[in-house]
Amino acid sequence: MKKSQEFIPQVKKSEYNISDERAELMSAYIEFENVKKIYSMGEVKIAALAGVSFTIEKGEFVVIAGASGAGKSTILNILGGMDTCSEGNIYVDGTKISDFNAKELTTYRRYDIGFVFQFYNLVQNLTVKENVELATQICKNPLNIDETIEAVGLKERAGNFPAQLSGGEQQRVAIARALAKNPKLLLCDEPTGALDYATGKQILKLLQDTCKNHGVSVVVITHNLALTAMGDKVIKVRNGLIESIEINEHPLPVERIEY
Amino acid sequence: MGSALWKDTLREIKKTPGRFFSIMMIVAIGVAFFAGVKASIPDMKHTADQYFDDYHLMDLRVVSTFGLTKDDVSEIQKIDGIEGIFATHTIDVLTLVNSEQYVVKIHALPQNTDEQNMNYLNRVELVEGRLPQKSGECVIQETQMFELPIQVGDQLDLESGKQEALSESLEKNSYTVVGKVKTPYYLSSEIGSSEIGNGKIDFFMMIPQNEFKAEIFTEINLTVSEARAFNSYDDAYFEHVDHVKRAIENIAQDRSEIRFEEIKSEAQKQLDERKQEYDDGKQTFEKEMKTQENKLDTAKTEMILGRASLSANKDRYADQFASYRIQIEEGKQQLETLKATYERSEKTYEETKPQLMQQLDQLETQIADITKQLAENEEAIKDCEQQLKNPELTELERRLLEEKLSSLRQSKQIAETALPYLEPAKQALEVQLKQGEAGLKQTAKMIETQEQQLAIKEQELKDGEAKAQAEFKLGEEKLKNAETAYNEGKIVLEKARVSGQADLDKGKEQLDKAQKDLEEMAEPQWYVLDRHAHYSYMDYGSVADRMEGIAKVFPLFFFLVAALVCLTTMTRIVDEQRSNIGTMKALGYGKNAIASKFILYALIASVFGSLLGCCLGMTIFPTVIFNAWNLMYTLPSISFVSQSGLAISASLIVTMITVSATVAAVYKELTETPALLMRPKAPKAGKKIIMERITFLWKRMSFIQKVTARNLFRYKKRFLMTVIGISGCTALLVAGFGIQDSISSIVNKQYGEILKYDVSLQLKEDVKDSEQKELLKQLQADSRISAVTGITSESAVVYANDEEQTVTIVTADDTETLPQFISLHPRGSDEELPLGSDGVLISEKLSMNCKVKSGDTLEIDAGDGIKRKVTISGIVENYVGHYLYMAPSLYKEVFHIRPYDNTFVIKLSQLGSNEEQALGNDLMKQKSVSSVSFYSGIAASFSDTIASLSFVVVVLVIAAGLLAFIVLYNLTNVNISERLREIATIKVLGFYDLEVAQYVYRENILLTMIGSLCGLGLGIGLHRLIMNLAEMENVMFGRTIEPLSFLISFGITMLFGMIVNIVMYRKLKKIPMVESLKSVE
Repeated sequence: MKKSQEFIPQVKKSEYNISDERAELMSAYIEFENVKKIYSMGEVKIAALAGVSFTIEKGEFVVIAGASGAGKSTILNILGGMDTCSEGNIYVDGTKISDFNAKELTTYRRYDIGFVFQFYNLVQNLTVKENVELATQICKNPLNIDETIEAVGLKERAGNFPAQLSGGEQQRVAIARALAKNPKLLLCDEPTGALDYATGKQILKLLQDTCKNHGVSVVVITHNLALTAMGDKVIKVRNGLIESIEINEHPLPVERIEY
Repeated sequence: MGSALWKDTLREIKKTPGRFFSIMMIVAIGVAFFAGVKASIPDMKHTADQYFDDYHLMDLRVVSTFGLTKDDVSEIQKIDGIEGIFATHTIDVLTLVNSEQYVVKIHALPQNTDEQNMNYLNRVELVEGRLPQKSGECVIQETQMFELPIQVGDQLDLESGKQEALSESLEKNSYTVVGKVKTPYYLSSEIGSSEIGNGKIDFFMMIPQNEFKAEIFTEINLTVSEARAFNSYDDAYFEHVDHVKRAIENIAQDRSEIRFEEIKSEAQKQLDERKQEYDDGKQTFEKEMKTQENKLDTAKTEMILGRASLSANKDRYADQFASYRIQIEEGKQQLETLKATYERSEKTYEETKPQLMQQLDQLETQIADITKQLAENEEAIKDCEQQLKNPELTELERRLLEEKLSSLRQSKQIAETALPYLEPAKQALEVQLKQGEAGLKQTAKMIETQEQQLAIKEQELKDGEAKAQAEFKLGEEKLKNAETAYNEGKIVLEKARVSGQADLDKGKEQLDKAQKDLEEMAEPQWYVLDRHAHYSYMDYGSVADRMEGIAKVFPLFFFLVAALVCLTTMTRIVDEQRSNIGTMKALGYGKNAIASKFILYALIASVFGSLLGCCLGMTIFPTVIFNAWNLMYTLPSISFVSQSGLAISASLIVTMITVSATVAAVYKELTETPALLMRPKAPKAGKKIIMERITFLWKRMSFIQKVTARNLFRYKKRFLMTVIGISGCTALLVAGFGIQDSISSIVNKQYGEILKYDVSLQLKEDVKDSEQKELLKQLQADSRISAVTGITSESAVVYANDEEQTVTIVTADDTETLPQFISLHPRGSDEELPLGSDGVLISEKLSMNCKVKSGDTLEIDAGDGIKRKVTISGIVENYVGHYLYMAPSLYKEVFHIRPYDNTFVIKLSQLGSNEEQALGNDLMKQKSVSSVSFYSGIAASFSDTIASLSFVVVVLVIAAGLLAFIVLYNLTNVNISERLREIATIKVLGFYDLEVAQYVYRENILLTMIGSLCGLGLGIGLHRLIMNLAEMENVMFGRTIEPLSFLISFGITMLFGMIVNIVMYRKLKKIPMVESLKSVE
C-alpha cells in the first residue's frame, strides 16, 4: 500500500483510498471481479469475457491458459491497461483500475506493468541497452539498467542491435526491458510462442527466477497447458469464462517441465 | 484475373486512402507545374498572336535611310500578296509635363479607322476617351508600369528637340489628349530610343495622318494576305510572309538609288551653309578680337608714352629744380662773398677811416697852416713891401728886405703851389672817405637785395616743387588707372577669347563631324523588316521562351519528389503485402501478374493525378504567369490554346516515373522465393550511424536524441524525399518572398544609394559655356540646393559579343565630388571605384547583357557611327538603365572631343513637395534649362507595381504548402504504418500520447528543419533563376532577400510541418495497442 502510493503520487489519493471495510474484505494484490468485455458488431454483441473473477497475490507466478479465442488475450489486454472492460471491477494493489480513463491507464501501464510480448517487440533501431533505456526513460524508480541486463545474462551483448541476437536473447531483452521498469506486475503474452523448446525453457526459467527473486507478480498467458505445472496459480479460461482456478502448492521448477 | 486484380487494387486504394492521395497529389503537382509552366509559353504566344491578328499588326515594315516616297508606295503596292498597306510617318518630339521632359514618339492614325478598312494597320484598342477626330487632337499610350501624369483632356505642347522647328513637320505644336490607347505595336513600355531628349522614348502618341506635313514617308507598314491564319511565332508564318518580303527587296535597290543623289546634294548644301555661317562667325569673332586687341594696344602705347613723359617731366623738373637750387646756392655763396667783402671793406674802412681822418685833419691843418702862413706871408710881404717903400731903408736893409721879400715870395709861391695840391688831396681824402662809406653802404644794400632775391627764389623753388609733386601725383594716378583699365581689358579679352574660341571649337568639331558624317554617309538602303525585327514581337516571344528555363527546373524537382514519394509509398505497400505476394507466387502467379496490382495502383493514382494536374495546372499556371508578365505588357486577357500533346506527354512522363518507382519497389520482393516471402520479413536491422563514432558528441546526446538520430539515418529514401520535398517548399517560399524583396528594394537603392541626387537638370543643347557657368553659380547660391555638379550625360550604343545595348555615357569634370552624387561601387561593397584613364565603369546589368567583365573591351558608338574601343575597368551596382562612366580625360582620348557638361545634378536641402514644385518652376524659368526631373515621385509609383506582384507570391506559397503537406503527410503516414508495432509497443510501455507523438515527430521536425535549411540555400538559387528570367533588358532586379524573408519562409515551412503533425496526431492516437500483440506479418 504504502509503496504503491510512493509509486503513483500524481494519481488522486481518493482513488487509492479504499474504505476500511473493503480493505478488510480484500487481501488480494490484484482482483478481477465479474469482469465482462462485450464487443458490439452492429446488432450482434459478442462477449469476449462473460464475467471473470480471480485474484493474484503479490509475488505469485500465475499461468493463464486457454485455447485460442478463449478470452485469455482479452484478460491480458484489460489487466495490462491496454483495453477497458465493459462491466465489473478490477483492483490492482488496492486501486480500482476499471474506472480509469485513457490517460490514467497510460500512467498505470507506465508505472505498474511490465510487458513481455510473444514477438519481443524490440525497437530494431535501438541496441539492447537502449531498448531497456526506452522503458526506464519514462518511469520513476527504474532498476539499474546494466544490472538488469546482466541479470538476464546479456551483459556481453548490451551494445548489439536486436537483429544481431537470437530469438531467446531478444526475449531476454524484452524481459529486461519489462523488469527494469520495476513494475508491480509482469505480464507475459506467450513468451515462448516464437521460441524453440530449449530457449523457451530458459526464458521461462528467467521469468520464474525473476518472480522469486524480485517478488514481482508474474502472469504468463499461454495456450500451452504444459506450462501450467510451473505456476503458483493456474487459471484456465474457456469461452470467455473461467474454467478453473487451481492453486499449485508445489510448482515445478522449469527444468522439470516438458512440453 | 482482370476483375479480381481490379477489385484487389481498388480495395487496396480504399484501405490506404492517404497513400493513394499522396501519390495522386504529388503527381498532380508535378504535372501541374510541368504542363502548366510549359503550356504558358504557347498560351502566351497564342494570346499575343491573337492580339496581333485582331489589331492587324503589320507583317512587314519597309524603312529606308532616306525615307520613302509616294512612288515607292505605289511600286510596293503592285506586288502580289499584300493585303493592307499603310505608308506613314513617325517623329520623335519632346513635351514638358509638370516641368519634366518626356520624349514622345508620334505615330499616325489613318483617316479611315473603320474596321473594314484593310489598310488600317497596327490598330489601337481604345482604353479611355475617343479617337482623334480633328486636327489638334491626339491619343496617347495607356502605360502599364509607370502611370503618366497626363489625363484625357490635357493639352500637350510639343517641341522638336532639334534645330528645325516642329512646324516644319506637324500642323500644330500643341495637341489635346482625347483618349488613351493600347496597340500590339508596342506591348510594353519599351518604345525604343531616340536622338532627342534623354534618348529614351517615354510613351507614344497618335495623331491623324494628315497632321504630318512631310511628303516623305518614314515607313511603310503592310500586312500579307492570309498571314493571319498562321501563328506568327511559328516558322510557317515566316515562310508565308517571306514571299512578299523578297519581292519588296527586289525592287529596293532601284528605288533607293533614285533617292540617294538628291538627298546627298541637299545635305551638302545645308552643310555648306552652316560652314559659311561658321566661317562668318569665326571672322566676326576674330575681327572683334583684333579690334579689341588693337584698342588694348593703343591703350598700352598711350600708357607707356604717358609713363615716359611723366618720367621725363620728372627729370626736367628735377633738373630745373637742381639748377635753381644751384643758383640759390650760388646766390648764397655770392651773398656770403659779398658779406665777407663787406665785412672786409668795413673793416678796412674802419681801419683806414681814422688814418684818413687824421690825414684829413693833417691836411686841413696843413691847409690851415699854409693858409695862415700865406696870410702871414702876405702880411710879411706887405710889410716888406711897405718897408721897401720906406726909402730910408738902407740898401742893405733894402736888400735884406728884398731878399726877405723874395724868400717870402718864394714861400708864398711854394705855399701857393702847395695849397692847390692840398685842397684836392683833402677833397680826394674826403671823397675817399665818402666813397668808402658809400661803397660800404652800397655793399650793404647789395647784400640786402641779394638776400631778398634769394628768399624769393627759395620760395619759388618750394612752390615749384610742390606744384610739380602734385602734377606728378596726378600723372601717376592717371597712369595707374590706365594700367588697371588695361589689365582688366586684357583679362576680359582673354576670357572672351577663350569662351569664344571654345564655342568656335565646338562649332568646328560639330561641323567637321557633320562633314565627315556626310562623307561617310552609307549607301542608300531599304530595310524590309518582318516581325523578327519588331521589338515587341521579339521581346514578348523571348519572355515566353524564357519560361522554358523555369519549365526545366521546376518539373525536374517535382518529378524527383514524386518519384521519391511513390517509391517510399509503394515500398511500404509492397512490404505490407509481402505474405500476399508470397501466397500469389505460391499459387503460381507470374511476376508480372503480381506486380501488376502495384503498378495498377500507381497507375490509377498517376492517371487521376495527371488529370487533376493538367486541368488545374494548365489553367492556373499560364494565367498566373501571363498576368505576372502583363504587369509589364499590355496584352488582352489570356486565351488558351489546346495542348493535348503536352498534357499527354506530361502525364506519360509522370506515369512512367511512378510506375518505374513502383517496379523498383516491388522488384526485390518478386525475386524472392514464395517460402521466404511467406515468412515475416526480417526487420530492417539497426546499424550504428557515423555520428556514433564521434563519441564525445554521441555521449552528450540524450537518449531521445540518439534514437532520433538513428532513425533519421535509417531510412535514406524517406530522408531524401523529405529533405528534398521540404527544401523545395522552403525554396519556393524564399523565392516568393525574395521576389518581393528584390523588386521593392531596387527603387530605394537606385535613387537613394546609387544616384544620390534629387534633381537632374538638362541643359539646352546650344547653351554657351559662360551661361552654363553663370547658372552653376546661381544654383550654388540657392539655399534650397545643398550641392550641385555638372556632368555630361549622353546616350550611345555599345557593342560586345554580338550584343547591342543603348547606354547612357556619364562623365564629370569633377571626378572628386562625383561620388557625392553618383556612387560607383560594386554590388555588395562600399568601396568607390575610381574613374581613371585606364578604363570605363559599366553598370552590372549591362555587363550581364553584353557578357563582359572587368578587363574586357567594349565598342562604343556615340551616335557618329564610329565604333571606338574602351576597356572596362570595373562593374558598378545599378538597377535601372545602363550606364557607362568614364573619366573626362579618357572621354577626350576616345572621342577626340572634350566632354561638355549638359546636365546638372542637384542634391536638395530638405524640401516639402510644394517647395519642390516651386523650385522646379524656378529652374524651368532659366533660359539654359531644357528640363527638370525630380526623383521623389518614382518610388511611390513603383510600389504599386510591387503590390500587384503579391499574387505570384500567393501561388508560390500555395504550391509550397501543397508540397510540404504531401511530403510530410506521406512521410508520417509511411512512418506510422511501418512503425505501427513499435508505436503500439511504446504505448504499451506507458508513453503518454504526447510522448508518443514526440517520439515519432521528433524526426519529422528535424527532417523538416534540415530540409528547410537546405531549402534556404536552394531558394537563393531559385530566386536568382526567376529574377534572371523575369528581368527586363534594362532593369536589373535586386538579388537581395531580406533576412526576415528567410525567417518567414523557415517559419512557414515549420508551420506546415506542425499542421501535418497535428493532423496525423489523431491517427497516431488511434493506433490500437493490440497491434503490438499481433504476429509479425
